[in-house]
Amino acid sequence: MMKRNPKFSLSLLAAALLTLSACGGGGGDSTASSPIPTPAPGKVSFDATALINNEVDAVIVQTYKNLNSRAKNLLASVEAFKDGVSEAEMDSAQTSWKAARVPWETSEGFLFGPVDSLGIDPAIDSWPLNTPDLQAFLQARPDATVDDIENASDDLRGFHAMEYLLFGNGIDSNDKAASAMTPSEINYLVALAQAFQNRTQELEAAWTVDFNTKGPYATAVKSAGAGNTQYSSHAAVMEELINGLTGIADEVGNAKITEPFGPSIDKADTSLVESQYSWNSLTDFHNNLQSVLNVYTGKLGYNPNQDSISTQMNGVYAFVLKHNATLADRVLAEIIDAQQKIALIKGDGNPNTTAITGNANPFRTQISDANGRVLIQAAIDASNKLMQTLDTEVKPLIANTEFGK
Amino acid sequence: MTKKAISPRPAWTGLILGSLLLHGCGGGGGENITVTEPPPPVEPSWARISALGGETTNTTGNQSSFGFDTPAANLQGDALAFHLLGDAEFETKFIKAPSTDFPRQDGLGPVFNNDACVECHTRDGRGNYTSTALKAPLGQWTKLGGEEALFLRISVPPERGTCVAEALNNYCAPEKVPGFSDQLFHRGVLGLRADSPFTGQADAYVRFETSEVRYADGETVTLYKPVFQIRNPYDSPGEAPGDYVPPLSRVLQADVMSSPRMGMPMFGLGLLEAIPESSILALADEYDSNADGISGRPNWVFDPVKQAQGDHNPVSLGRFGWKASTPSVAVQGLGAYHGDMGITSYLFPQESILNTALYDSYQVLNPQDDGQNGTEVSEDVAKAVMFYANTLAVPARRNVEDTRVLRGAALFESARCTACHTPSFRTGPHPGVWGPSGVVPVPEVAGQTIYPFSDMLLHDMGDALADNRPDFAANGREWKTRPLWGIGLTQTVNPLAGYLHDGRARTLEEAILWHGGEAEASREAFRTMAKSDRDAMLAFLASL
Repeated sequence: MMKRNPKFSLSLLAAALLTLSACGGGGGDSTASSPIPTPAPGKVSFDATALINNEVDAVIVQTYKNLNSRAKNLLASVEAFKDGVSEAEMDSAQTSWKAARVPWETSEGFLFGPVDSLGIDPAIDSWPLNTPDLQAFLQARPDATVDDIENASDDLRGFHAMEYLLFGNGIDSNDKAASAMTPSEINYLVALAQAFQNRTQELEAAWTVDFNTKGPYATAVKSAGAGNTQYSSHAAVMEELINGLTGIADEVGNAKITEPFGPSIDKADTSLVESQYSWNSLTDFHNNLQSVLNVYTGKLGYNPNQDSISTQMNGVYAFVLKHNATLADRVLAEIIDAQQKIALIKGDGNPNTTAITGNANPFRTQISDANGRVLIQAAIDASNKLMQTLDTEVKPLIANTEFGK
Repeated sequence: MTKKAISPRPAWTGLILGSLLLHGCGGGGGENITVTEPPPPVEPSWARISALGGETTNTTGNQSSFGFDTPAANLQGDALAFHLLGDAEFETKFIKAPSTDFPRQDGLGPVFNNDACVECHTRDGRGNYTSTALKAPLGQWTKLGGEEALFLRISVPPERGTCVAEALNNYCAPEKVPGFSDQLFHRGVLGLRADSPFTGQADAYVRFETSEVRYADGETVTLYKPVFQIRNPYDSPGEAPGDYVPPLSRVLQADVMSSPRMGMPMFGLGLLEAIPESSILALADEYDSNADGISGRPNWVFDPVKQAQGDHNPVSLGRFGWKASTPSVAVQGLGAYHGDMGITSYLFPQESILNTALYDSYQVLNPQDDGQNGTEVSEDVAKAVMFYANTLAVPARRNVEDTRVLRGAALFESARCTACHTPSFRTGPHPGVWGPSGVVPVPEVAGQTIYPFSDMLLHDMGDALADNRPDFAANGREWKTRPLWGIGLTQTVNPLAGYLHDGRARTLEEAILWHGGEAEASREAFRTMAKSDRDAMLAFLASL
C-alpha cells in the first residue's frame, strides 16, 4: 500500500511558500552547456552529472534489480512450498515475502517514471484486499492461472494477497500453519508470485533495457538537458529526487502512520495499517526512510552504524554540502532519528531493529495502546521534522544553484 | 424560461475560404516550394509570461513529475487542508459493496472502467495505454484491462437534426445504447458475470494502425491511430464483430457509435470554470463571420446541478471533457465517480446501469449492492475531491527566456495556432462546489490573469480526428480546444502518456500533425516550416 503524491502539511506548505518567494523562478538553463558558467551572484555552482549518474545506476536501478531478484526468490520459495508442503517451506516463503518487501519499500523515495506509467503499484501493492472476494474467486477458480490474476481486479492480487495467504489475518498472530493452506490457496499463491515477478521484471527492464522503444529509462534521466522530453535540465532531476524524498517522508509521517493512528485512541483504525497481516508495518516504514537515506547519501543500504558519509558517495548530501555543511549533516541526523523513532514504536526500547520479537508489539496493536501512541507520536513528529527540513531548507537550494546543464 | 437552440454545423464555405486565405501565413503549403528561412516573427506579448495560472501557479515543483499535483500557491489555512483531504481521497481504491472490513471504500461498480481516480489521471496528468498495447505488433489486438486510462463512449444516433434542449430529449444528451449505457463499462466486479469474471458489459480491445506524414523538407513522421473493437457483450457472451450477420448483441449493431476517451490532466480546472461565460462566448464565431476559416462555437449541455437546484432549464455552457460536454468540475468529476468507477453520489444517486438486464441479474444475487442511496461517496468527501480538482496549480513555464523558445512562441502565433489556442483570459468569480448542504467557495481562482491557450470552444478538427459521434451540441467532427498550459511536462509526469482524446499522439509533433479541419492551415504552416522552426515551436510547447 502506498500513495504516490506528497501531501504537504499546512504549516510546512505555508513556510515553503514564504521561503521560496524570494528564490526566483528556479531551475537551470537548458541552453547552457558544460563547463559550468560562473554562477550568478548569490548562486552556487554544482555539476550534478556524477550525482545523477550515481543515483540512477547505484541506487534506483540497483533497487529495482534487487526487487526483481527477490521476487524470483519468492517465486522459487512458494513453488518449493507447493512441491512439498511443510512448516519449514512455509517459513521460507514468509521470509522471502518479507525480503521482497524491502526493496519495494526502499523504492518509494523515487516513484517516478516507469513505475507509475506501467501501473506497477496497483498491480503489486494495492490496498485494500477484498478477502471475501478472494475466497469466492478461489472457489470459482481453484486452478487460477497467471492470466486469471492479470485479468483480476487489483484487490485480489499483489503483495497483500500473498501476505494474507502466507501469514493469515494478522489479528492475533502473524503466523499461519502450513496445514491451514488449501490446495487452491497454494495454487493461487504460486500464480500470484509469478504475476508479481513478471511485473518486477518489467520494471527492471524499463530502466535497464528499453522503455517504450526509447531505450532504457535510466539513460533518459541521465541525459537530462535541452531537448530531453522528460527532464530539460539537471535542476529538474534534482527537483525530482528531492521532491521524492520529501514526498515519502510526508507519506510516512502524515499518511502511513497517521491515518491508522487517528486523532484519538478510540479513532484508531487497523483497516488502514500497511502490511497488517504479517506485522511488517514498522519494517515497511523504516525502509521507506531507508529509501530517503539511500538517495540522500548516494549509497544503497547505507548503514549509519557502519558507514561514514562523504561527498564521494555522490548523493544529495554532496549537493547540500556545497551550500551548507551544517544543514547537510542535520538532514542525515534527522533521517536516522526518524528511523530510530519508528523502530521504538514496538515498545521494546531497541532503536536498531523493527523485528517483532520478545516483548515487542506490532504497529497494529500499538495504535490502540496509550503508551504505544506516545511512541507513535514521536515517530510522526520526527518524520514531519525531516519532511519540513527537506522541503523548506533543501529544496530551495535548487533555485540557488547554477547547474551546468 | 429560455431554451438555447443547438445550432447546425459550421458554414463550410467560410472554412474553405479561410483555409485558402491562411495558406500564406506560415510559408506556403505546397510540396514543391523551396523552404527558406522566413523573416523573424514578432514576439507575442505573452511570450515571456511564466506564471500561467496567475497567483495559483506552481513555481516550486514545476520541473519534475510533481508538476501537476501541487496545491494552488495561494491556498491557505482551512482551504489548503480541504484540498489535501481531497488529495488523499483522489487516491482511494474502491472495492465492491458491501464490505464490512472497508465500508468507507466500498461501492465500486458493479460495472466500471477503473477503481480509483488516480488510475486514469496518473499523478494528476494524462493517462496512457499499457506498454503491452503500445508494444504489440501492428494489427494485433490487446484487451483493455485495469491499467488503461481510457474507455469508450457509446450511443445510438439521435432522431433529430437540430435539437432544442428540453427535458423530453434529455437536453440533447447522447442517446444511450438500449440495454447498455452511454459509456461502455469494460470491467465488472466479481459476481457480475458468471461466464466472464471481471468483465463488465463487454470486453474492449485496441490495436494500432499507422500512416505517414511527409514534411516539405522530405522528413517523414509515422502517426499511430488506435482502433477499437467490442467483444463478449453480456447479452451475447463470446460474440465478436463478424460472428453473426446481423450481430446478435445490441452493442454490436451497426448503429452504435463509439468514441474513446483518455484521462486528462487535473490542474487548472477551477480557473477554467471561473472564466466568465461572456468571455468565452465573445470568441465564438459560429458562421465564421470574419472569414478566417475558424468558427468556434460553444457546447450547451445538461447541468444536473442546475436541475438539483430546481432550475427549469438546466442547461449550461459546456466547459470540460474532450467535447466540452460537462459544465463544471463537479459535474465532470462526480460523473466520473458515477460512470468510470460506479460510485454513486448526491449528484448521481443511482447506479449507472440501472434498468438494464445486466443490473437486474446482478441485483438478484447481490441485493445489498444497491447504490446505497447515492452515498457511496459522501457529500463531504465528494466536495473535498471536487475542491481539490478545482485547486491544483498550473505549473510555471520553464526556459522562458531561451531564444529558441521565444522564436517558437512567435511562430506559434504567426501560424495562427492562437486563433483557437487563445492565450489569455481574466477569470471572474467561481460558482463554488455545490452540494445539498451548501456551497464550498473557491475564491482562490477568481480574479486571475491566466494563460490556458484555449478558447474553450468547439472546432471542426477534420476527418482524421472525427469520432462521428455527437455529444450535446458537438458534432462528430468537433472537439474542444485543449488547454496547452503544462503540456510540456506531460511525459515528465507520465512517460507513456500520449496526446489527443484517445492518446494516439506519442509526441507533441504527432499531435500537431493530426490537426485538420479548421486547424488545417495552421498544421500546414507547421508542416512546411524549416526544421529549425518546427523544433523552435516544439521547444515553445515544451516550455509550457
